[in-house]
Amino acid sequence: MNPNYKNLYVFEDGTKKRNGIYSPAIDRFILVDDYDYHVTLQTTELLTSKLSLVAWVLPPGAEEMTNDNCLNYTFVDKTTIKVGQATMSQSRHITQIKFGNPENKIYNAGPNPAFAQGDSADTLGKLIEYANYVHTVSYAISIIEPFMATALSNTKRFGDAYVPSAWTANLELAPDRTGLDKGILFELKHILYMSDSIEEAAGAIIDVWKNNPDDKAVVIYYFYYLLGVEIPEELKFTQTALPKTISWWLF
Amino acid sequence: MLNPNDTLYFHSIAYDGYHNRYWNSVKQQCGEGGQFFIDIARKFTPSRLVSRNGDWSLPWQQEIIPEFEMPAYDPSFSKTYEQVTDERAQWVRQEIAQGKKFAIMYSGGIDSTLIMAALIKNLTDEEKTSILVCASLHSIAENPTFWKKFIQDKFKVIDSGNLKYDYLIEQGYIPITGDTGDTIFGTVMGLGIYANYDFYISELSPESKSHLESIKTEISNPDVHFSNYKDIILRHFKLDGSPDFPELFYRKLVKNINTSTVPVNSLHDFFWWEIFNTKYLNCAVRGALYFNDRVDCKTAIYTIIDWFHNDDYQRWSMVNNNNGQKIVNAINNYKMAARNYIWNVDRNDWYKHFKLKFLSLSSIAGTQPVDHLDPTRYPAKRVGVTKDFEMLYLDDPGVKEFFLTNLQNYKIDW
Repeated sequence: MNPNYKNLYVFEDGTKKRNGIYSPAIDRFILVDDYDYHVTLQTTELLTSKLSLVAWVLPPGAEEMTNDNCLNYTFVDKTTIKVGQATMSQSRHITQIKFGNPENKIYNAGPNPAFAQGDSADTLGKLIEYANYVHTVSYAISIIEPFMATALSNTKRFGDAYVPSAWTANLELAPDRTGLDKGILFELKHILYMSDSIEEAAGAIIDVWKNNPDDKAVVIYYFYYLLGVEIPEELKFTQTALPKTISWWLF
Repeated sequence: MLNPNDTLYFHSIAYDGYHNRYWNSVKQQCGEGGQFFIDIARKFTPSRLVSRNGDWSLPWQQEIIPEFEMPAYDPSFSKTYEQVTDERAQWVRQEIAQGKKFAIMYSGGIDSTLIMAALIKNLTDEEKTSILVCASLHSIAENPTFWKKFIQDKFKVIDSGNLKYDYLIEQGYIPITGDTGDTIFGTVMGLGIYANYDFYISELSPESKSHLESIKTEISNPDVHFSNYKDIILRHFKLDGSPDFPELFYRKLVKNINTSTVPVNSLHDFFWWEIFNTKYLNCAVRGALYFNDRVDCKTAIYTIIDWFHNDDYQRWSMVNNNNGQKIVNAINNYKMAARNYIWNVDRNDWYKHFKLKFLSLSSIAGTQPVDHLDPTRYPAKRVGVTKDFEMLYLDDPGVKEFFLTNLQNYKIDW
């Protein structure tokens, strides 16, 4: 075998590929990420409750674009870029990731004048702030899910992925031990999907942890550690019984 | 059997993969006129353009279905968009009071959200029980906040994925669509230019590029006539293999505008007029003709209610150009009057400022024939409607001869 999947991660010269989120409505990138396009796609999906977006593995030539200046950058030629059968400016909210090639040139067009002032400028500012928050939480959720798999006890994911339905017809598979219909990580994602602000989302996330603290001491600890913030006061009560077997893999 | 001299109420030439070979063979047998007409479909499939006001020659005789004639231009029309919309909802109330029940084709897009917002604002909870919402997961994904706040557990909902209008009509519902919403505000054709403006002008001469850069934000300024944008319009009309098509199509549109009775000034006016006049019939009847297999097309056309198809919406559309209500200056503020109406109901800033126009109909109504397997009756085979409301299928006797003969005789007359 001579697999080609590595082309998704590095250019021919070995430089690591980055990824980002493009907004057709703003006609600019709203976020750039250096690490993991799977997480960026999840962030994109979570933000589609606000606007249609397309995740991209960035093409070569976009090195100058960063998360600080991406609101100035767009594609030179969008007429040939399709998302499904539609042009990118008509891409639907159930989105996908596109892999950029050298023809998808990106350039610094400056800020979009349609969002230069007034309500639209304010809303764009809130979007960027919220997008970066969602991306950070999206990373935390995505890292916790596999690393805390046994703590979360997600038998449903394993069963759905590897076991025929007939084998588990009489078994009860669950996303975790919380009793929540789709599990606690779904609740976190749904909060991000439906919230209008960081404050609203952060408060709702605290409530979810607070109402489902059993066996979650380590998960909650890592979640806030990954966000880079102190564990909120309302959740400190969950941290009194960290198990001695805790794996300090993050340190 | 169809005769080449017969009069149609509707025609459709589609480059959709099914009949490309057939239309290509017809094109090879035609002169400049017929080739141009088929090129319209190659560029903007499906080609169903017919004028409601002003010159627009066709290869065959065609009349406007009386229901869809354009109301007279009335410069004194003063109702607001909100007023027209509320009155439309009040009409639905009156119909419900008489025992009617309605099925709303809800995609989550601006037009169908406007319809839902108007009903939410104007109907009582009791009256809302006469409303069925036809939706798919796409409808939820386009505006989940609206779904959660205003539709979930508040209206009856049916999965629209595999249903067509015939099912709804047979169940006793009057379907309501927003298919002519685009005609009231402008057109997808214009949005294509606005979204790619910088790229298009990068290919033009330095003089043209400089001029077009200076008027980029004037797309809805009535003092900047659309002819100032001719170079970028021609670029947008570019069609591989037909170098003369852009100029021919532009001149045909201009002739139509110059012979019409409604003012058309700005670039957005230009594209608005194209859909409000020549594409209106397609928007108004395509649901009845292509998303319906069992109900005869006349019954379907007159039963399905297009929310925006009434005289007041059309009159509003004719007197509200270039005042910021149709578009301000970019694709994210297209249909501004509708965005404002919706915002007054849901207060959703995201939707107001970021919602884009998508092609919605195919995402909320089934396109595959579900109740018969005769491939000659597939929707893709439907190419016209006679003045007797007989549906024409491409393989029916006389139909191919009708198109070939008339396209061969068609001359450029502009």
